[in-house]
Amino acid sequence: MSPIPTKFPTFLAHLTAAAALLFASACTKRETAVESGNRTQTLHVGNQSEPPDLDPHTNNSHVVSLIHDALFEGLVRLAADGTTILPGVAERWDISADGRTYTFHLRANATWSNGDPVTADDFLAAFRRFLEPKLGCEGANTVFSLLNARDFLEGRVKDFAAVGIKAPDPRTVVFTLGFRAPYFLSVLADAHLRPLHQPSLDKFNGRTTRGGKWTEPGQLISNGPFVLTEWKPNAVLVVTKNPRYWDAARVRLNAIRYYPVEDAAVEERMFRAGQLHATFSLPQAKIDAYASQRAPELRATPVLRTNFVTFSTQRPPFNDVRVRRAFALALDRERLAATTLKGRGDAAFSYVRPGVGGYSFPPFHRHDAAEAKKLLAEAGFPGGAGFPALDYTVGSRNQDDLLVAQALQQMWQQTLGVKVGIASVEFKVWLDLLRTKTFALTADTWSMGINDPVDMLALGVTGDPNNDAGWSHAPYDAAYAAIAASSDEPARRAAIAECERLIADQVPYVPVFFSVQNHLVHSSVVGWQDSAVHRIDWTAISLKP
Amino acid sequence: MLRFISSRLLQSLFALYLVITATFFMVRFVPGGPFTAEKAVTPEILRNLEAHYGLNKPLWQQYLDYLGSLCRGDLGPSFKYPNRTVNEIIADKVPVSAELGAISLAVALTLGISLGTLAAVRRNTWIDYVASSFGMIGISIPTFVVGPLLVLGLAIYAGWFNASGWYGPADRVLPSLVLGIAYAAPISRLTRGGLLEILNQDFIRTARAKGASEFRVVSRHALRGGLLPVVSWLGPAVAGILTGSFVIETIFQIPGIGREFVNSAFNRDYTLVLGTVILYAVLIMALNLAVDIAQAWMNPKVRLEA
Repeated sequence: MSPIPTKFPTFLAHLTAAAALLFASACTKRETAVESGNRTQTLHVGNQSEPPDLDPHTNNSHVVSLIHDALFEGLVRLAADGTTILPGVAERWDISADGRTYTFHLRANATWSNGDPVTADDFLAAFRRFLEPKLGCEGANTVFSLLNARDFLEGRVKDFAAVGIKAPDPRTVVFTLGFRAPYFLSVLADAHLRPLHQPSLDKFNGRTTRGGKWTEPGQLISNGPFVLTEWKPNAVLVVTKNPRYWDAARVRLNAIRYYPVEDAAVEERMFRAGQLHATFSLPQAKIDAYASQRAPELRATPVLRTNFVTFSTQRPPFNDVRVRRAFALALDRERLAATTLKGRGDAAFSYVRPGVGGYSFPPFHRHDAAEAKKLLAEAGFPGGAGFPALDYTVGSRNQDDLLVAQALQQMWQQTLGVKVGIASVEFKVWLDLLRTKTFALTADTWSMGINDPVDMLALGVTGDPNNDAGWSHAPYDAAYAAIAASSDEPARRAAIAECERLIADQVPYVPVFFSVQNHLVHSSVVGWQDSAVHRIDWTAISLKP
Repeated sequence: MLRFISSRLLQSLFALYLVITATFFMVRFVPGGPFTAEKAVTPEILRNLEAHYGLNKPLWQQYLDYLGSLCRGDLGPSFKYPNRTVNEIIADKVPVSAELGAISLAVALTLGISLGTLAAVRRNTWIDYVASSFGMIGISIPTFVVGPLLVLGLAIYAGWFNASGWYGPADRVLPSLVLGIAYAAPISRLTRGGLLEILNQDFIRTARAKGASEFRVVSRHALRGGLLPVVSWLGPAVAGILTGSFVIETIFQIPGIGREFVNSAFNRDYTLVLGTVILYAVLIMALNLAVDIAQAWMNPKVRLEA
């Protein structure tokens, strides 16, 4: 074959050399986003996924709540510890002796980002919209403690005046509750319950429709420490300091840039490349490396999320409480936490995490192999003989969940001699199985929306939409009703304890572990405090250069 | 020629209608819906939600409504992103994917055709082996391995680039390189194969006998025929590369349409699923037509009327 001119390779070599030179000169000694952010007090944070919308009412996404904490301020706000309630738009409030009337006094200097004053009527209009039947707000059940709120949402009460919220004058909001709810203040601190700027809502017919353009940059009028300045879907959402915020002196950051990074591994690489001050999460595989080499940057926070096993209690074999209890006692949660979870969770010996709403619970379902075997034999399956073949369903989105499922599978096999398969299904398919109760037992999880046990105890009530176990137990329903009916704290405490006891006794759900949220925070960030409710006080944060 | 194009267009329209119909019903029969969330809402709230989006109407009615609005060019509202329409999402994301795709395609064609040509001309020398190995490795190693490796080396250790993001011109380098290499590999192998076949033909010997330089023989005479396999492969490939790559867009945090294409299915965002499927189908059909025309131009043996 005749020689080919050397033109091709030479040309390629030149091109490569030129490109390499260009990169080298243009790219070395670059200032990273974190470095320039420290200079300008701009915080770069990973915020997991793209906000579906910034409408506080239709929001059902946690990442949006984190943005709302920067944009809007409710009557009260949550301190960085996640439990203390601080004054927000309301400078003070009174609670009646029976705990059913809350009167809030609004501060005179609270304004919208366009200068309009924030009035009691703005809160009234926001509640009216949150409960609007046509809007179908997914989070509206958080305010069902409000008198007639549920009936209005579900169409049994037509007149909003009957709902327990009044604005007697522009600076007073009065709530009347249908029952005593000591957690009501923390509900008001929730991201859903922020006031809305009525003129901008009306501009887009937003009072009764979803998805108006009033949530776009340039249109969104907010009343919080920051205002929305830029929103590039799937790239970045930027908020900047609101000079009209009544307590603007407290705010130290000039801007926060939220990046919707879905893949935790990508986020971790961005952190290492100096693009993020803080990540949303951390892959389990990276926990050990950070714990040993960069421990100050690793934050591990117990959060209000219980991971449990749900039994389909209406179908054999789990319609037999002895079988359910045997499966519960066969689990060695301490071993699971030490060998499989490795920092991702704490062993759970109660259904609601102890400490939620200030309540504590005695541990139950300690590992007891002998008792587990005995119970299974009594139920007619000695040593697992004759036990039907069934699957443990996992609606898994990540590998870590499958590892936990395999560990449980092994414990049931070793202790009880039963063979349980693992069926991993796509997330929404799994949800559909839950809702149609077409599973045997499944890996389930619940993140608490209200910092009070009632939020999670509702899952045991007959007919609750989230009662995935299909469980119905009259004494439990009575105990749950007694929580709302309780007139004082000791009675309430007793009713809550009774609910926990009945779940331990009847085992519709087996708590397995409480989640621990791991993520990374750069050493230049001052004042970042994580809490069990996974909300951030952005006004407490500053950056040291 | 005109008859050929118009008959192909009609066929495409019919195929598109079938694709839309099949997708519309398939996505509805998948378990779970747009409002199936981790926390179930009360049946009353769910009913209100479905009524808000017209999901309470009979399915055939929804289908006719959808076709009706489609004829007006309206792809409907997104279920997942209430304040955006599918038209807006596509208009917002397609240019990003197209830009990434165009740069990657340029990288792929430059790299692929040069390496393939070199390998064919210097058959069974070390150049051929290196180029062919590149082809083999490029095809076998997936982008989700190459991508993070390049990020580790050039972004985290060398600090030349951002690990991910789509802000300045420098952010185009790594993703285009990864995607470009992935497409360059099959191009180089197709080029080599096609060119080898052509180089053995009589008209090449004639060209050489007439005293044409080897460079001229390859570039003017052989490549035109040798690239035919590449061109027919490029039709669907360009549609794929222009509509974005889920993996690349996820690894590099690129706000392109590829992520929407995949995530909309997970979210059961019915209208967005349909919108992206329609976009993809139209592109494939248009590009296949373009390929047929290009092939006819490159190879006189292909008869349009055939």
